[in-house]
Order: sequence, then C-alpha cells, then structure tokens
Amino acid sequence: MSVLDPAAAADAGARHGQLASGLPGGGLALSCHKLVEDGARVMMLLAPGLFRLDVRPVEDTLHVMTRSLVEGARWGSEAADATDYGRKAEETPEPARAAFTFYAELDPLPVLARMTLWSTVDRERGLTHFVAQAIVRVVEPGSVRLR
Amino acid sequence: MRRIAITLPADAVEDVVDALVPLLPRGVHERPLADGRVEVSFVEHAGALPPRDELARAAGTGEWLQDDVPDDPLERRRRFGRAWEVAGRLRVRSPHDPPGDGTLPELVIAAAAGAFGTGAHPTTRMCLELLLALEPGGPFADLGCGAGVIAIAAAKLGWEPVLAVDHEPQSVAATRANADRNGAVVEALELDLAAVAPPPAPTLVANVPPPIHAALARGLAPAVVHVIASGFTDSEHAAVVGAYTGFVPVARLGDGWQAVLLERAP
Repeated sequence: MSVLDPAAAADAGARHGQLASGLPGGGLALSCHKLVEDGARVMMLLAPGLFRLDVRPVEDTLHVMTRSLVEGARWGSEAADATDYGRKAEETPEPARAAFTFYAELDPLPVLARMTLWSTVDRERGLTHFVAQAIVRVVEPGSVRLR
Repeated sequence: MRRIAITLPADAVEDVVDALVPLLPRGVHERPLADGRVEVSFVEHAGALPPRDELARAAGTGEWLQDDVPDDPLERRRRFGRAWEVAGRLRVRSPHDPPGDGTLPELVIAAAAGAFGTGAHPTTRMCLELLLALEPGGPFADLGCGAGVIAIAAAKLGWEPVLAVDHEPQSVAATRANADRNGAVVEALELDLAAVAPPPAPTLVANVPPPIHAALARGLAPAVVHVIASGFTDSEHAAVVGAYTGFVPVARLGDGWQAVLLERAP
C-alpha cells in the first residue's frame, strides 16, 4: 500500500527531520524529535495520505491535534487512557508519555497507527523536548473499535 | 535568526496555522492582540526559511513584519515578550518580558516548575476576563491557583481577603512570591480540593480539571454567589456546568478551552 511507503514518508517529513523505515512483515515506522518553545504548535509526525500529528505545549497542558489526511474513507483517532505530559517530566527522571491511535478504513485493508509521544520540560527556559514515534500496520477488518 | 509575524483576523487563524505548520519545523505561535486580531509568528534561521512564495501561499494576505532576533528563546522573549492584555483592562507579563507603556495596570508573574497560571494559557486569560466583568468586593478564593495570577488580580481589583489554594507546594510558593512581587495581599495555602470543601467565599475561581470541578460543586457553601469555572474543553462543558446544581451560567468564553461564569440561581 502506498501509505506504507517509507521513502514517501521520509521525503514528506524531511524538513522536520522525520525518519521513516519499513517494518519486518510489512508496515511503516516513523520517528521525529524536536525542542519546542512553550506555546508553539509544531508538527511531530507526518504519514502522507494518513495523518499528521501536531502538538502545542502551553504551561503544563499539551494540546494534541491528529489531523486526518485520508480521503474518501472512514477514520478515527483517540488518546490512550493513560496520557501524561509536563509535571511528571519535571518531577521524575523519566520522560512523560502520551499515546494515541489513528485508524483508517482504507481499501483493500484498514490501517492502524500507534503513536507515542515522550516529553521532558525545561520550565525555566520554556522548552519541551519531544520524541515521537509511530508504528503503522495493516490490520484485519473489524479488528479495531475506537471509542 | 529571523522572526516573521503576520497579523490576521481571528477567523482566518486556524486555516493559516494549519497550512504553515508543515512548512516550519520550529512551529507557529499565536497571540491575540488587543484589537481582536491575532498575531501568528514563527522564527527560523534566515537560510532555512521556506521560500517566500511558499509561505505567502500558506499565510494569505495578512500584514507581514520581519525582524532579526536572537537565537536564544529567553533573549527573544525579553525583546518581543509574550505579555497578554485582558479585555483591554489588564496586562500580564513575565519578568522576562519588557514592561508595557503604562496605560494598563500590569501584573508581573514568574513561572515556577510545575506552577500553572502565569497568564500564558487561554484558560487563565479567560478567567481573568470573566473576573473583570464582576463588581469587585468581599472575600475571594482562587482554587487551583498555580502561579497565582488570578488571586493577585483579584486582590489588585479590590476583593478582600483573597485566598489562593493549590495542592502543589511549588504553586503555593510561586503564588506567595508573585504576590510579594506585585504588592498584593494574598494568603496562599496548600489544600487538596478533591478532599476538602472549598472556602465559603462569595466569589470563587476554579481553573481545574473536570474531576476537581465535580468535587468542588458538591461542597459549595451557601455563601458562594459566583463561580468562574475553567480548565475544561468544549466536550466537557455540559458535564462540568451540570455539576454545579443551583447555579446558572451567565457568561461563557472559549473555543476549545472553556471558561464559564456561574451565578447562584435566585
């Protein structure tokens, strides 16, 4: 499927330093990292024909925008139950972690993307260091139910 | 480093930002201006900027300003600032931002690790705007005070006494430090609002997550007349407002993040 083409994803996200590769057994892996100023909306991941993941950190809140690039097919997106940003990253030695899924009923088979976003915050300088990764795979029809 | 700022009507911002973000790895800032328009800005090394025509296609016909700025984000803030004007009546800035021209009363609020509420977040600004619509006077409590800007504004506007509470000790410390910085009389206390009933002040501001609103709403004293509630999004609005039994919403602000002024029903 063309949406799983790593060369197209690498090319589309090159300006942002996005890396893309294929996965054993089929699928697409994406990753990107950025140092983001408080209040800035930035693109973290781009899967052409599927989705764009934007984030905007403001103080201790994180606004995550999953923008669908799917045309002519049903899609859905949601955050995982346990998402974290900000305070945990300031108070523990581990990055905070937030997770999201994106699902699109493409022809001939649906595609599921699992995205993870890690963050650490430098409050004094107003900067957040984000690391984002996505795994995109074809799934069986009916195997995914978004809330 | 080059900074480009584009001034746009508010209803054009979403589409322009959506188109600019893929072009600009460092991202895009938005700042509401006092005249109702919005400044959209971004920074990049001059050699790494996308071609001007590509930016122009994304940004439309807004008014452009370009400037050379320092590489260091803190230095840029000192030069350009991220101060906020609220309802044309109040200016909030950090100690890193340049002072205003003196036409508006100004609060100087320092951020602290873990302390929300310096004025940078839309919910804080909306709470301040709703607060400015009320007649000041009598006891006041800021619930989930963060860095203390709302409590400090209330004290400056004429509410007295002013209590600020937060469950995080660093927020309480930041509120005390910011109150001193602004010459405001605010008592700041560490309090778990999920476990303890809110203080019986006639005017409350609660910029807290929905589960805390649910707890607050259950424990409101009869003396409470106004509650400014924020810290939730449009999809959570109905549940939060519905929890405040016996109160009616009389004003609402926000697009995404929400703020509501609730008044005790007659």
